[in-house]
Amino acid sequence: MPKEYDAWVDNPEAIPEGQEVDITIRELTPDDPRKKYKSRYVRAVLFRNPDRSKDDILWVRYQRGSHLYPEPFGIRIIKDHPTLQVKPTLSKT
Amino acid sequence: MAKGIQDTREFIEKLEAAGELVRIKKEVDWDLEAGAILRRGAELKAPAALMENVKDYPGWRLGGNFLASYRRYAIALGLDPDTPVPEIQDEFERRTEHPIKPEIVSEAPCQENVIEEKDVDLFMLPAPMVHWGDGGRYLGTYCLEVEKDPDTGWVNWGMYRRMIHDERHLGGLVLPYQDVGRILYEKYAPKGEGMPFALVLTPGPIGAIVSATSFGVEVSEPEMAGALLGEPYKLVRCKTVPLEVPAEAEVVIEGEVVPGLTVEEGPFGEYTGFRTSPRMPRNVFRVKCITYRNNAIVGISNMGLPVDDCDIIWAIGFAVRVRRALKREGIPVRGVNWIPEGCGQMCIVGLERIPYANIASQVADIVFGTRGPHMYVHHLIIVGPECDPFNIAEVIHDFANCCHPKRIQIRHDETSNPLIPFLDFEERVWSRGTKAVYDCTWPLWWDPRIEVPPRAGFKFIYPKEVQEKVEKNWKEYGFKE
Repeated sequence: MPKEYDAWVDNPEAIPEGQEVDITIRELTPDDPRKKYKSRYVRAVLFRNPDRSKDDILWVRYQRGSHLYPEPFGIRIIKDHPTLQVKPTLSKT
Repeated sequence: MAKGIQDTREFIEKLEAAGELVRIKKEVDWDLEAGAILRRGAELKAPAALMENVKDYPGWRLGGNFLASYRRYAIALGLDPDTPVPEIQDEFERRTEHPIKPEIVSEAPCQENVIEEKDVDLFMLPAPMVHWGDGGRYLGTYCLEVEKDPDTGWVNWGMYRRMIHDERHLGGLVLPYQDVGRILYEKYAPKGEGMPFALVLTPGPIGAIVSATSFGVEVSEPEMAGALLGEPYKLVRCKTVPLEVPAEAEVVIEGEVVPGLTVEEGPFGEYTGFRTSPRMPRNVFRVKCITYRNNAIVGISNMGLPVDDCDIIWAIGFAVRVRRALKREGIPVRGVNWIPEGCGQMCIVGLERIPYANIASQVADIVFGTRGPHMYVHHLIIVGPECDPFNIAEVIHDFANCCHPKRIQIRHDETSNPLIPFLDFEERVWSRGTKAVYDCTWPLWWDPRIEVPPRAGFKFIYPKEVQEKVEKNWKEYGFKE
């Protein structure tokens, strides 16, 4: 079953497609429901037009959380970083 | 003499007896539903809520809106729920003139259960997703966070937002002019040392009031809690950090603010009624230990459109603090109304008389310069002796008819805070705001006989004997009281 995550970015249009990025994501479909919204700092590849039947997807929020970018990205997680993210890579704030 | 209430569970019983609390037995989802119940309740002025059946979390409870009305605040102080607001302020001021040192106890309900560092998992707590679109699940909303100045031993209690990042870390906003910010940035950060903290979830009502009230620089907040309680406030030593926490706390999270590290935190629907600040790198709180009571209650302060806990706590605390400061400077103050619907940004000062011209400027200097309220208040309305500052209809009437727009004072580059919705981004980054003073008093240089307009009101424009005759015959005319 594909997993769902979300993340905050300044400008979804500027997300580099197909490249590895370091990003903090939130778990939306964890195995343990009590872990929902847990943050993970990961290295991942993001891409548009995911196959919802098999690709993990990433919903993208604008900075104040109320607006979702209408189409989710696909996400392939390469690894979890062992440390906390110090500076967001897809935000200027 | 009336005494305050230390324990949330005793407070819940008193609220329920007064019709101010509902026990919800139906299963409630911590993911948005709990927050939505409290938000709607605050906006409809419904009773507080205790949710006794939380999805995914058997044995845990959620609750909120405990202090979201003047009636509940009065009950917390041991007063009659219908005590008028000025009398609640008077009682608050009277009690806080007599600090009472806390009592350290060896055993406490908040340590009935202990989770050591190796087993720490913040997701064992039913942290709510308070609003849709918030940056995470917030444990710090209805809370009391303890820090201590390592040099002076001064203890700060504060109610600050803290968001779960992962099992062992919280993220939180720490501003340099907050009391916690002074301790962190002036005492620990320069040395690269971690700052011990203890985050108390669901303190008793007196603890919650004190944590969200500003008493002044280096005023002992445990002693203020004792003052409001009417007896020594019971504290217990933490298990892993050199701090003491309220014995009655439902949950205590002990740990250290990690120097030089940040995590993404926010956004969060805030006290202003807006979700203003974006997601940003914030301080990291690393957790070492969790202790909790059996059948613990995780409290939620769902901040948003007024009126909620924050609005009421500030309406009393800020008002008394400013009223004291005004009286100390000889201002003939009749009353200070920190109107809850303003979410901290608006204050109404009523004067007993206008002894000299431009007293409004002096009032503004004091209100905007009083530490604590200073970073919240942006709109100051000053009314004269013929207007009751607690009667909003009268205040609006005076604002609309007595405040000449050309005499509105605009003060630029005043201290503000990054959560104010009308500031632009750069102003929020630097907490730099603009404030306005609306002087609704008549200029002293107007001749009272020919230039000051008489009020066309029952109490002002009829001879005393006519007023008395009409009041005496009111029911006989056919009117109800």
